[in-house]
Amino acid sequence: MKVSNPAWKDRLSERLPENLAREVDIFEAEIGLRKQGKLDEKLFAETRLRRGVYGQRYDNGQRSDGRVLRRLPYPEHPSKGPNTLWDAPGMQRIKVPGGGLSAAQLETIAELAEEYSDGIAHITTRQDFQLHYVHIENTPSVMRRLAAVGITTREACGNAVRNVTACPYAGVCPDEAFDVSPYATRLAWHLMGHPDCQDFGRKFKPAFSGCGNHACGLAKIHDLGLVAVTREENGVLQRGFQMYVGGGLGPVPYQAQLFSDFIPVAELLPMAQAIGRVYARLGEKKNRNRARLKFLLHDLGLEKFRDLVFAERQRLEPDPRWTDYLAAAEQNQEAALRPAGELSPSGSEKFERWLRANTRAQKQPGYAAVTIKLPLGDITARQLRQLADMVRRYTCETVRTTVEQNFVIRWVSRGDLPALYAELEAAHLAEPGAGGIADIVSCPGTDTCKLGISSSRGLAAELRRQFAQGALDDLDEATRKLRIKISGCFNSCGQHHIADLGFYGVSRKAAGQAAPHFQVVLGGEWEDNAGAYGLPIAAVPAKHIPEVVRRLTRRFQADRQPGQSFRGFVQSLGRSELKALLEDLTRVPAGDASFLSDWGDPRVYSLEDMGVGECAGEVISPVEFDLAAAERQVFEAQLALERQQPQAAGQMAYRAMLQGAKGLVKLNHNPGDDPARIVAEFRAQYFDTRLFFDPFVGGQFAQYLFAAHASPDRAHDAASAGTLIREAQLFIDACHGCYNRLSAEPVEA
Amino acid sequence: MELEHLAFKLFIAPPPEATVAALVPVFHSWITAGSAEELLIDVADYRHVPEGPGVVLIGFRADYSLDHSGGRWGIRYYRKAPLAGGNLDRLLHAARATLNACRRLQADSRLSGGIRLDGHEFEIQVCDRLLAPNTASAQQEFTAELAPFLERFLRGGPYRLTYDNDPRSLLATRVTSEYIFELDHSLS
Ligand code: SF4
Repeated sequence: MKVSNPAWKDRLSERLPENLAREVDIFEAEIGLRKQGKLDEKLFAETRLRRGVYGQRYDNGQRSDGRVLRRLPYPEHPSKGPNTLWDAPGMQRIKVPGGGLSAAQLETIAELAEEYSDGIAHITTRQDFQLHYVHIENTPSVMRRLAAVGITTREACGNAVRNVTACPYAGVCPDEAFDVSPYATRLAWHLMGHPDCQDFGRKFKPAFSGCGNHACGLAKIHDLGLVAVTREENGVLQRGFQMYVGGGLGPVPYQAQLFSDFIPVAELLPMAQAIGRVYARLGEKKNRNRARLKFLLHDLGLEKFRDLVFAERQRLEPDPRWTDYLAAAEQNQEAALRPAGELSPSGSEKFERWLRANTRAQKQPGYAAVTIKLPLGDITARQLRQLADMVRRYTCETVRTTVEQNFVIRWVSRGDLPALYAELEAAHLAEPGAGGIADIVSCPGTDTCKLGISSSRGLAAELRRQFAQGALDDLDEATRKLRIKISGCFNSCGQHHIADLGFYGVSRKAAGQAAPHFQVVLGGEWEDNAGAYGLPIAAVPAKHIPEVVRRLTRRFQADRQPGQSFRGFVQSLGRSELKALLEDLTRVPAGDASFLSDWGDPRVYSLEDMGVGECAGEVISPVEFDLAAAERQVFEAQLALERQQPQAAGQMAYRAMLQGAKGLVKLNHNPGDDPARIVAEFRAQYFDTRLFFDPFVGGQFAQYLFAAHASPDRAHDAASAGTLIREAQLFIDACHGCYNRLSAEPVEA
Repeated sequence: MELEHLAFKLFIAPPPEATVAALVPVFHSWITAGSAEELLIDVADYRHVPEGPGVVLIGFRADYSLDHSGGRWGIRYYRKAPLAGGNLDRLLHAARATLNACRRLQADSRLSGGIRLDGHEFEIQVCDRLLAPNTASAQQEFTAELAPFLERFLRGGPYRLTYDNDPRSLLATRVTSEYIFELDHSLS
């Protein structure tokens, strides 16, 4: 697409590391083959995903204008994957191990954002960058320019080891056991393209944390979570990791399990390889929805999994790379550019406010780590260059991205803070309140993600706007520290499960029309490496969410016990009370058309941009009653669980699913109340025909019903009942989705 | 010097916040109407980013935006796909597309007259650092390449070019003229 594309290869030939240059050459050749129709589209799709070249909304060539689904008349070319048109713009994900960047790398990303994207670089919840609206034929140039400054996009997406994340304060945090940065970096490069990690059924996400009690590394929500620990052996302090496996958010979140409380650093790489081998060999390959490591672990049990991994470890041929970096890693210490300094009182309330929330004392006296709070994780090319200037002027280029979609500049002399603040302010990068209620995390949602159901960014932008206009003015310090995280759908990329106030996009019908909603999830725990997940309370129309936030924050402020966390407050209030607090907000006000559009998107809301709509003829409204009844039963199951009655809770969750399935079956005829018949007819009418299939997760949620139905009387403990309740909620959300799709308009010819 | 991937930004007076917000549905309606020259795909709303790209109408071959980069508001056209012809043709194409967009926005009652053209200043960028790096020699060449175009656009009137000399920036110049150009400029 760009005239300069062929010339970049020559221009950069001297500057590219050989392995990265080869990688890009191969991908460019594959692009050529696919254009000639000589490479299968599915194969090409996976190969491009493994280079971080991702699809984007509307890339199937269809777009709803709110009334009808219209075709976008792209030129005719081979596809770049199933249902993905060649010329439709896509997203380029850029891997940043541990979030660490140099000034030159910031400048390169700025250039790419300006030349190939829309001028914005976006930071994700896994410390990556994303550029949107990139044409596939420009991606080799993008990759070469990144490789010239030591960045790769390899395995940024696809069924591979994704970005290795790490605490952005590693090396400067007073609470860490040791600096995990060199281990994270080495693991990232060691596993990239490693033969033991090439045959996964899904993605695999590693994360490092310097300590067990803070949030920064979020070790427990990852496939492989590594928490730094030390122990003394024969009078010598040894470094190692608590190793967690099988965590993950997604529709049903799983806490990682403790695999070992001490893996010596010398064993980090071989153990990771051994886990990769077991996952590659035994992990699910056909059913994507059960292909993450968490399901393998669930199926095998921790003990069996552990035995298999240790057996695999024994079989590995020794590799000098496992240990050749360890001596340097022990000595690793970033340097400071400027001498340590102290801060005198400024007399500026604005500066002091920023100082309180956006800076943190390092363990090295006289230095601070500074957080740059970005709106929705977005930064302009110009700001990236200004940031590059600042990190050169005040530090030895020690800057990292964070999982809260921000930057942290480390090693700032405290004496330089006023001058740095002035420069940040001039660059519009000094917004106070980092890590607080207005520092909202959001996934791309319906803005650009093909799976988005509701506009997470639209909601986040609206909340930010209301907060800026004074909606926070009467809140106390503790309430302002609550965290809001928003996902556009159940896939949890916005990490809503671990927020105080989490929201994920769902759709519901109101007066016969689909309306954007968010499921409210309260009391997740960010601390303790994401120690606990929130509780789903109710689905609320998107336009009522600001009021949900207002009510919950005011109630927390007024009624919490001294020192009580939001999670503790949610637990003490109980679901019934919380639901009652929000009850009137769960309904779409009659006749208010604004509720039928999403935040930031004036079109009449529809799910059709997620896939091809189908016309199922007449829509029978009683299904909505059944779905509402199913929702009620899930809620009752939650209450039973709260009352320590897991057996009853599990059975209620199962019945809720039956109710939802029955609602859909009744669109054709009433199957009665026999569970076997409901399930059989649901299977025949909706599963076998794929009518129930979500365009992107397929029949995953139907499997929850089938699994529950296979053993309806099984014994439940609190954990299994909790899981079944979450599954029931997802199944019912999917019933709503199916019903909405069936009643959507056909594609306009 | 090949002037591909041009961006043309006509500066406007700072629009009221309501106008910027109202632009989102206006751009959506352009996609629905399908009446612009380019295939239009999506609207990217960056109002939350200070001095950012503003509201962008993403197209296949070109984007349109109400842009606030560098702290100056303007109607911006960015040609992503290559254009046939010589540099003058490409500059004329970009200028026409920007003027047309501006005209259309000014006529749209939903924007309540909030788009008011400055008339004296505009900016031309080349969004490709390989074709056009921001060096002193490239600036000289660019100045020469622009001359015939500016002669037509400003009807022979005098003008001044201002460059940003940061070598990391895109090659871009701000054109200031005494002559007030009009939206119905025929560019003939
Ligand atoms: S949570 Fe859903 S909408 Fe958001 S980025 Fe993930 S898949 Fe897309």
